[in-house]
Amino acid sequence: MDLDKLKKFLDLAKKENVSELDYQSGDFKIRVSFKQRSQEIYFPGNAATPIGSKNVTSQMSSANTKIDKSDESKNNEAGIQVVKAPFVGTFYTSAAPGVPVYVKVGDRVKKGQTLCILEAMKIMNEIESDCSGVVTEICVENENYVEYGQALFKIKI
Amino acid sequence: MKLKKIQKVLIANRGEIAIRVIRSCRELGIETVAVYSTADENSLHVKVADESVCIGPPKSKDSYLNIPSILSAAHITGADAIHPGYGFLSENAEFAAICEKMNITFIGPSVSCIQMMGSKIESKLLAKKAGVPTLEPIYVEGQTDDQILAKVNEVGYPVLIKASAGGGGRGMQRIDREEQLLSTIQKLKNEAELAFGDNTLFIEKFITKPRHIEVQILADKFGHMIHLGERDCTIQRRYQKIVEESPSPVLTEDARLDMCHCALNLARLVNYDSVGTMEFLYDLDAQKFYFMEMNTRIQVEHPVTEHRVDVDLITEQILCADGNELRYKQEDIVFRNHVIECRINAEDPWTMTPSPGLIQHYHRPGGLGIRVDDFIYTGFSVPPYYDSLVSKIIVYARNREECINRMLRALKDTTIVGIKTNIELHKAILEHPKFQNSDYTTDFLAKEIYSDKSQNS
Repeated sequence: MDLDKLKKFLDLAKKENVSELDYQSGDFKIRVSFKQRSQEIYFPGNAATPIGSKNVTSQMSSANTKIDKSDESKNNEAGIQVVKAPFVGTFYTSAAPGVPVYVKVGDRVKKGQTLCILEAMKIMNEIESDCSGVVTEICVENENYVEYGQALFKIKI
Repeated sequence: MKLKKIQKVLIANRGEIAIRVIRSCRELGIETVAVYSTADENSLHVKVADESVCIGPPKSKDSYLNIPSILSAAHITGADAIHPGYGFLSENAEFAAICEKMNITFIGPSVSCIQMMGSKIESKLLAKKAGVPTLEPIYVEGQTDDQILAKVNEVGYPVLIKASAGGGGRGMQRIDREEQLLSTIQKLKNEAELAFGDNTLFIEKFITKPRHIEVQILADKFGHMIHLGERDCTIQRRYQKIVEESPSPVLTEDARLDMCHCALNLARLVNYDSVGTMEFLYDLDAQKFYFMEMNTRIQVEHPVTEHRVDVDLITEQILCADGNELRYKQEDIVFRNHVIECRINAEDPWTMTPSPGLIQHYHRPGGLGIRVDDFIYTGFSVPPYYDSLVSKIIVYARNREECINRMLRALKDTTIVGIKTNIELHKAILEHPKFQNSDYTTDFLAKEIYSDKSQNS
């Protein structure tokens, strides 16, 4: 493979943002691998010197947040859109107690469709889907509290 | 100490002050809730609090200044009190009022105190009423030239002509002689109209050798108040404090007592409660002080006072907010030590350009007489969205000379790799003969340190 072709091969690999690219032609074999820039993801407990007592688990427990963080890295690859809480509040699956839930797992939803209620400061806000697809997961239980950015629904586009 | 009602405090702040508040809450047996923006996910205050709630995206206006978000977080965690720290919402009377309406204890002064003392103009009028010396502004509007000349002559030259709508050093000019006064007023009127759209001017006495000296006070809701001495914060750059110390090396004992009593008189007049600081400008030449403004919150440099009087200001602040009587009488306050604080910022020491980023290695100083209030750790990425303060090094010793020596040791012991900090600036300040001789005013940094650097570069 002459230098020109090699350069084109490398450009292709860079352009397509691949981590590894193998090429074989007869006896000639070439493998290119690029070191991925790793994301700085620090999970609680890793680097900090704790000052006081342990984190007490509560409804806002770190367990909730931990699950969200690890799942997000899978989402982008699987074609799944995560609907996140746009503010802090209380999550309700239906408009009122006793009334049927807005959506169930497996339901097909349209962009703009109401998925749930998020209550903040006594005001009930309808949270709409920002995409069309099928609901694969409801991430929060009814009447639980959510924080900003917390995953509420997973929708397969 | 048993608390009357506060059980869970939400700290509406971040960084080192959030940790500071959490520490006092721990000692009082109060549960703590940290709030954080997505940019602060890995911040230390989130890890050390009992609970944490993400309240918004990185920008302050969407997170730490987002009142509905913070109150929502208080609601869902069941917090019954909020400590606002400093900056952010700490002097926001509207926020304090909303907390009151929602039955959440705002750990700070009453809404009316925040409103009254938060206004530079109103607080000066109140100070005058309380018999506290102020720099009386001479308004240009509606005065004849003769009236202005007469009033300025009474005050004495030099004077400073200021544009009301100006700020941060803009729209000001110093006048040394009577002949210059009227023509400069005309010139500045035109300039102000062009620059700020408002040609309102006023004239103040110009202090040639100013020192910035402030007095710490503490009060409960029952009218008991004490002062905890002064802090000298003269080392500033562009109105930002860099080094603070106590006692002030230039104040006479008489001036000190006078200043502290003035502070208390003003506090009594407005029925002040919680912590507060009265800021004064001290004229070295005339040996006179003038009230400038009041900060109705805990301040960054509060540890300087804590190590002179051995009082935990945050603990006392919380206890007073909880409705307890002040635990100290004035005669219980004993002053000792010399204390210096250096603010370590994540910035280039000479250009002050911020330097956020990953801290690859951090080693903090320690040993006798050294306290560090920080929130950084090895592996932490300092976010770019907030102010650059990453650590406060507070040093105390028997006298000023030992204190400076100890601070230099602490600065040399400190290792921060990966971001730039202003540690070299602090070393230059503390090693400077004028600092060591207490022979400086508010222009010390600009004149002695930065002019050097620009000549060398």
